[in-house]
Amino acid sequence: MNCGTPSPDQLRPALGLSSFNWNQSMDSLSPIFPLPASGEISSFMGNPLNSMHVNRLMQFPADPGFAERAARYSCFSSANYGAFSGVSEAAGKPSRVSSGHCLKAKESRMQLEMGDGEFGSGKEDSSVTDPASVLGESSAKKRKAAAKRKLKVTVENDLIAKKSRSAESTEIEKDSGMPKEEQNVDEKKQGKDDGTKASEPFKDYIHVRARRGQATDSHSLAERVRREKISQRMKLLQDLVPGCNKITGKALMLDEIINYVQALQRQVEFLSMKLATVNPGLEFNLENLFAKESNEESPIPFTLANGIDTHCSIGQLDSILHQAALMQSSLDMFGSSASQVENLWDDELNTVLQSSFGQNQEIGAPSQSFHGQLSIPHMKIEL
Amino acid sequence: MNSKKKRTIANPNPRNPMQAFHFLRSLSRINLSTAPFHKRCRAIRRAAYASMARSASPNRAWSHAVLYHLHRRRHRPVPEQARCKTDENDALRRLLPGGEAMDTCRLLEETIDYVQRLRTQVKLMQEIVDSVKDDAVHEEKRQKEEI
Repeated sequence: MNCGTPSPDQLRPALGLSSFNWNQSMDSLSPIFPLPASGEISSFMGNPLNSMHVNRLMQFPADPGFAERAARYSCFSSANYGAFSGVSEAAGKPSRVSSGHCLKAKESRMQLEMGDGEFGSGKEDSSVTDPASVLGESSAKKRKAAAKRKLKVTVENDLIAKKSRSAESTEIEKDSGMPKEEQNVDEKKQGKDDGTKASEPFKDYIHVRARRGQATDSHSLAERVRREKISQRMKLLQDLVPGCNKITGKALMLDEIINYVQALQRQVEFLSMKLATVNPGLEFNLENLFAKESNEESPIPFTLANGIDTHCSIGQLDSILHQAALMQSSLDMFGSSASQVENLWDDELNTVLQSSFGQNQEIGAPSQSFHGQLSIPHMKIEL
Repeated sequence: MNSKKKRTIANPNPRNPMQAFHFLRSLSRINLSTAPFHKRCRAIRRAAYASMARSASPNRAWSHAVLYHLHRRRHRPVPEQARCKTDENDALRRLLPGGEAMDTCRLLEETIDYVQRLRTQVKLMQEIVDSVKDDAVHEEKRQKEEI
């Protein structure tokens, strides 16, 4: 089907050479196309269907300004599959290829997309086997597979590189006479957001490769990276916030997260109030602390702890705390299970707290409601 | 005094020791028994957030914001800059300290860290309260026994 008003005028000068040798075209192609592409082109040579197209179409790269023209008519590539939907009838009409009006290209693209659906080429994960099965052109497959990686490899923000790739993709597609679907997949990358001509090359610092069937515009690339980052983090948050496994969707997740954070903050407030009320109170229990220490699996010398320059009494507290921390960590090293460790952590915390509060009592105002708590029986040490 | 030994171990709660340490230290520094109730409340809450922030890894923006606000100690109103970025994450931004000046991606990162530390803080404080309660209970028991 014709893609509307063709602009053959621009392309005809490119086609001016009628007797173009394949080898010559290959040579001219190689500077523009990457090597595998040229390999694929050679593989298409044997295709009788396309032989008539080949010569005519291979003239394109000969045009020095071709890349620029292709760049100018960004929908050029997207129009190609439109052109090639009727390629069987309109054999070798380069005007088809050049019919690169964006609107018509989009129309044709829409039509072709529907045809694409069955091949699933629009999906990112779709294997390239479908068009390959249709055509049996493994080389095209290779090129596609190489072209469509997920979020790796080099940046595609250079305009010329992009356009030349689109050009080469169109070339190769035309040469092989591939069905529209394959071209569609390639062209979509160009034509999707490239409504405007000549998008400026943004120097991106994150190297992303466009995915299959997605736009290679620098804007959309960066956006996609950003979106994936965000979704990654939303997943992490989902793990953190309890009861969020069933919720799908950013908005609902955000609501849940907000509720959870608010609840946690309220809890902190409430607990601080509670602490303020119950706080004046605990006796210092060094003996208990030592008793507990001796029960530990790895008795760490008491002197291991302190490197902090604090008040000496506080320093002792610090050392105790460090002791607790070190004991905790060493116990972890011994491979205790998580629950045990947490229990231990709580117990250590208890002892540490008692000791700390007791010390605080000694340092600060001695209004002790609990006296003589020298032997606290509730030293639960569950190992 | 020997130098501090810091080991990197596969700890299920890797941040707990540092956070607990900071919190307890700041708690012990608070003059708890003499100050009036609401001041104690505030001081404890401040200590909680400070310990959370201090034990945070230094590249966390929210920790800096928290410490900044705490050190200020003044309740001057935050200048309402005309940030017309009405995001869908507005509410979250308001919740998170320093969340105004972040883009969505960063905001979510900080939220993750903030939530983790909040959780450990809550656990800490709950533990403290429980231990104090336990002590009280045991003390009463002993007193009853003595009687």
